[in-house]
Amino acid sequence: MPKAPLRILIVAVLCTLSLIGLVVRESMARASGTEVLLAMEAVDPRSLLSGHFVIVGLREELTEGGFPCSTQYADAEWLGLAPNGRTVAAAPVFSLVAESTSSRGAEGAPGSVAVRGVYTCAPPQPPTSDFAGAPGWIDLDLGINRFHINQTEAERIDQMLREQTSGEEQRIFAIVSIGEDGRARLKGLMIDGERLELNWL
Amino acid sequence: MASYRDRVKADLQRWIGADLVAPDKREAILASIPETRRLDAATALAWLGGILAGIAIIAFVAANWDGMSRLMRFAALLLAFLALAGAGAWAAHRERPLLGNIVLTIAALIFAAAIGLTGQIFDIAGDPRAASYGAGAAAFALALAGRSTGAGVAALLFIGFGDFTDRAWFSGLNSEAPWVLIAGPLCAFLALRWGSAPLAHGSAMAIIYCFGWFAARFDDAEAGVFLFLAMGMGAMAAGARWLGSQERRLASVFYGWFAWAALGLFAIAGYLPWFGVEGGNGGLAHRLVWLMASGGLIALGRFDRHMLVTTIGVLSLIGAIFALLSDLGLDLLAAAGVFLTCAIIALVAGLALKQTKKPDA
Repeated sequence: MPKAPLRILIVAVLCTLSLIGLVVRESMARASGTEVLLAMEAVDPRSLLSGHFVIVGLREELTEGGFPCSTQYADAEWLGLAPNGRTVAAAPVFSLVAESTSSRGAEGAPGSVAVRGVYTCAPPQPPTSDFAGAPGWIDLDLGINRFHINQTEAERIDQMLREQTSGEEQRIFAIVSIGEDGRARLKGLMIDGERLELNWL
Repeated sequence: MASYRDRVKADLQRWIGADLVAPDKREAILASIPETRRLDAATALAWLGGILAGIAIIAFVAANWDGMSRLMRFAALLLAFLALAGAGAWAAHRERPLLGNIVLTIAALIFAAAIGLTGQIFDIAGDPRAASYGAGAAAFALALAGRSTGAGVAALLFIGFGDFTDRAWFSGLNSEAPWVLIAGPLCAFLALRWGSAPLAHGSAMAIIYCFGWFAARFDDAEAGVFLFLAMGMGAMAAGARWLGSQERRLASVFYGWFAWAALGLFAIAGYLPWFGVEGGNGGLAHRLVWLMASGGLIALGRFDRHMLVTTIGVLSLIGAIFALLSDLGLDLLAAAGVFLTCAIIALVAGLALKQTKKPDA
């Protein structure tokens, strides 16, 4: 058996290589995946430590003829995302179109992509005599919930998200890469048509 | 407090004065008693200094974190880890075990932080449990490579965090076993082999958790399960006591923890159904056995001069008395009868023990 100093150095090098390997593998998977744009909204309550990241709340309003909110919580582990016809800076915006227990089942519509995740939805609430009514919404949980960025930028983006109101044109989108393994990886944010992407430098 | 060596030194002086020991044997006798290693002020300050230095570096990097590029941040993390591991290797080469233990412990902590921060730097979303297990595995590898007890404790902690992340204490464990099931006994083995008290305490608690995990696998736990586990734990306490009698350092730590857990499991068993879900609990008979077991543990603790075991016995006795009084309600006459019976049993047992000791005296 090698002596203690050599053993320690071997363990240290292996640990370092495993971290570098993880970063390289994730970066390659992120670069090679299918890119989709997903609508984002502000999340409440705010995180107490929200200084250095933007909370990624993938939420969109339910539209007529869109995804039916038949069950509030889906048991399915795969979701089908397809372009909803809208584009931002020439990139198509995707919406939830299907749910399934298999990746093949989720790829229903043309141009759709299957991703691992779950959703929560709420149907629209009709207006009553003392309530103006509320639109329905769908929340997607694709395992990505934070975009780490410096404090000033994070606070600026959070403010913009909070200024968005229902019915207005959305200004902020998450740029997500869907890999061959069905995992969603965050590539960055699209703010007023401008890409804010992760890079090494 | 004077060490055993100091006390023998004082006694030797007295025995030499009384002509019981030849003066020329003094040095040979003292040389046969090794100096006990204690955490003296210098060692404590060395630990404190090492930890504060680590905190200072972390605070400095954190202050400049926003101004650094992603690659720079990642490089800073890796360099900090490699520098500490290198210092650990140097300390091992120079045969400075204390320094090696300190830097390898900090290296294990830095690597755990590096996993989390790498995820943050490159926005890699992953399983938080996998991150904890990864940090635990790295800390364990460092502990084994450099014989670092601090890194061993860190490994146990990280693996425990991994087991508890995203689920409640004992819930959701039907499908997957906790990794502490492997890490606990392994660390107990290392604690006995390396003579590390912190590792012994940590692994003893991990083993007790494993017993709790086993009990939690039964949806409708019956007394039988807990009685079985209490007996198993009692047997392990007896085993640890035997190891202690074989001069195995730190076995007494396990003896104390396992004795506590055995009594705890037995106490819980008394409040669960004994004969099916419809059946009643242990009732008065259980409380009486609990009371006697507590008394027995106090006697055993006094006999073994094991303060922790005696304390556990006393606390358990108080618990058993409360349980009995609660069961009997305000029937003080019945309570008096029960306690009188216990007192007679204790007195008879004490007298019997005294009688057996007399022929040797």
